[in-house]
Amino acid sequence: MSLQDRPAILNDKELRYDSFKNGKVLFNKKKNHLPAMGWNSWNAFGSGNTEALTKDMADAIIRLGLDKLGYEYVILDDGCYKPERVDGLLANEEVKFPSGFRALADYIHGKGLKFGMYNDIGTNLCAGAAVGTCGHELDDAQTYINWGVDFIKVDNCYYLWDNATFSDAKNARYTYAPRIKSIVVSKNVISKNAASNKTVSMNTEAGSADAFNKKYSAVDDGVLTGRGAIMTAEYVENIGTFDGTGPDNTPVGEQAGELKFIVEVPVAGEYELVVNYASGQEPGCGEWLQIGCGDELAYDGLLKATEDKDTFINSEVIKINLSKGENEIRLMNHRRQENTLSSYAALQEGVEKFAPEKDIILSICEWGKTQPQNWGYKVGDSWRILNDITFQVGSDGDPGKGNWIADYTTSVTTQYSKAVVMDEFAGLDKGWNDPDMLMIGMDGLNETMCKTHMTMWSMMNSPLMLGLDLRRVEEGDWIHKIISNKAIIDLNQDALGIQAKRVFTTVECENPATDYIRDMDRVDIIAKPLSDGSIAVSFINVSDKDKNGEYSVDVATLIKMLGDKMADKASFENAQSYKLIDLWTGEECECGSVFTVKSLAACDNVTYKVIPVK
Amino acid sequence: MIIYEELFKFIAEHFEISVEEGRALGIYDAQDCMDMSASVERRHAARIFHLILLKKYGVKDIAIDAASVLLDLYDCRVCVNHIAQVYLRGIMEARLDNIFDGRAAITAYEMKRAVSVIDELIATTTAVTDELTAMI
Repeated sequence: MSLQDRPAILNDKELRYDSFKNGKVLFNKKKNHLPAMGWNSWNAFGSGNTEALTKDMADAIIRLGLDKLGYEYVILDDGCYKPERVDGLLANEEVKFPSGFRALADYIHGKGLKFGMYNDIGTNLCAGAAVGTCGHELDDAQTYINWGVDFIKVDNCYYLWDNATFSDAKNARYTYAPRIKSIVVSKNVISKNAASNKTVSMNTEAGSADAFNKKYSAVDDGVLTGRGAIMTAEYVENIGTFDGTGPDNTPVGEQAGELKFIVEVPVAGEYELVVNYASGQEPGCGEWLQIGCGDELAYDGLLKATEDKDTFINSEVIKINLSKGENEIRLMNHRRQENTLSSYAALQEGVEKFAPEKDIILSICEWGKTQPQNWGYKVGDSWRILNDITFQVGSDGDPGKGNWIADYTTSVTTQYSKAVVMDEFAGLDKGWNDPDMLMIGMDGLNETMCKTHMTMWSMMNSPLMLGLDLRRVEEGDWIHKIISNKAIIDLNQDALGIQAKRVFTTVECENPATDYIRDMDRVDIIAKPLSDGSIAVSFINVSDKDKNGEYSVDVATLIKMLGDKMADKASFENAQSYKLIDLWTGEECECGSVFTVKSLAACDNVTYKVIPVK
Repeated sequence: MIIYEELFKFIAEHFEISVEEGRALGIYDAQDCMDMSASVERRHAARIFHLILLKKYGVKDIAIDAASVLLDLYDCRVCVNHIAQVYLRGIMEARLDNIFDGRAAITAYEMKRAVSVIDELIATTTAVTDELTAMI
């Protein structure tokens, strides 16, 4: 089939940026799922996973009793498909998966487990196979249903409509607006000029009694809203959505920038708009412009490319409808988010079309690039928040390597530090922030680090995807004790479905709940309301040094920050005392309304279930 | 520019790894064998060289933090480790200004040089292993 040469026209308003906050899902996406738990092949075996290894992992899940704790999905990541489609359809790589995926699904289902697979919204998979879902969404949805797939993880490689991984870098043309120098709004005077392709008159003289003609300078009259747009001395650029793949910026707040003009006109009616712009094909300066006017999207498409990004020209005339008095005209480009949402939605559309009764979990994995915390809930169950947690994945005989702290995304603490301020994006009616798969059992992380890694992910309602070769695990060894700690898993799977909020940090900040902190030399206290009226509280030493201070949080703080989410606020607030259960040691104690931990070893955590005593 | 047929032949001559063995060991992917006349991108060559070390000769990975000087290291998420391993071991060099340029085709010089460095590495590793065995 032939692919389109540009992003599709979005006729469904639900796919648009302005609908991101309306809480509506697309294509009857089913909600109210707790975070998914299971095993994914990537961290353990990279592209080297095989049918035999996968069966061994399914067997091990049963042998280790992990299925009884909630680990249910066995997921094949990249490297399992034939490199090209067969008769337009996906097919199995015959050396590594000789029996095919239906047979493997049957094997896994036979164990009482569920089967998951991987793909991309681009033309190819990350490892190169030319079998991405782009343009094949409906066929692929049907194929996955035929194979008995219960879970689909979908990456963002080779995506056509953004400068994503392995994509043409020039695809940024679709996801950034051009540089904008000015606009002219007119009535009854401008068409002739524009049609003749001459420079539009930039004065305000009217051509007739009811004519209107006014130029608005981006620098002098425009207002930047949201985040990211840059005003230079002559023009505005960087109108688009901030790329969230790296760890540099906060995920909280607006992630896109717009240029707005207030245009006051004497009479309601149709006006003509001309934009003076210069375009490029790189982040910060693209070719795609959206123009919003009231509730209408007056323009949504590519502008004619300019000679270079410093040569400004006038657009063709764009018709807009204005009301009498003040109007807000928005120049923007939200296509990075809208295009990506549309591609994921196409898969969900297929699932809904071919198996409306089936509840397939969709794991969105575009690595935080398009700020999926804003839109992911519409079609997905979780969304990755950053680039990968490790690039040193294992293979058969090699556990791979993870880090506790690293400069880029490749560490437990980098992923945690972003996810911990994202609790307001998560919930049963939305889905879950995904700081990537667990690295427990990989080289580079000791037992203490792995315990805290497990605590962090459980408290933050992150999907719990094991990423190690389970043949290395024996019942009762330290890895098994960590991944099978039922009390900790219960936090993750608690029916109330609330991600922990950071209520305190030792780093000076304005708001511990929302301030994005990358200084790892700190202790955090995070707290999570539970369905039985109790609260889980974790004291986390994020740093790799021992901390000998005294760290406390009181009931008043917990109520203030979590009260609106608690199952029984009054009982907690008015309790005479509190029973504390240490969820790693099992020790219990009773105390008053202040909960304190004295000293924390490097990378360690203390996690209490705090139960009000009447 | 080197095509897969040439790379496979060169590897077979130097390391005695046939295409069938390479597939069985997981050194070659199915896509490597799809079109023998296709040119080999540097990122795929990096994967193949790394996996020869790892799977044929059991040479363990080294820490890759120092490879972050490559400005395009994270452009290829599935080959970060492969590129880092061959870069840090001197098997493949950056093209210029700390750019690995993984999507460019590998040249004959780069292929021969890579195989030569691997030869030296294996010889050194084998010598150390023999020495340790003798001490035991």
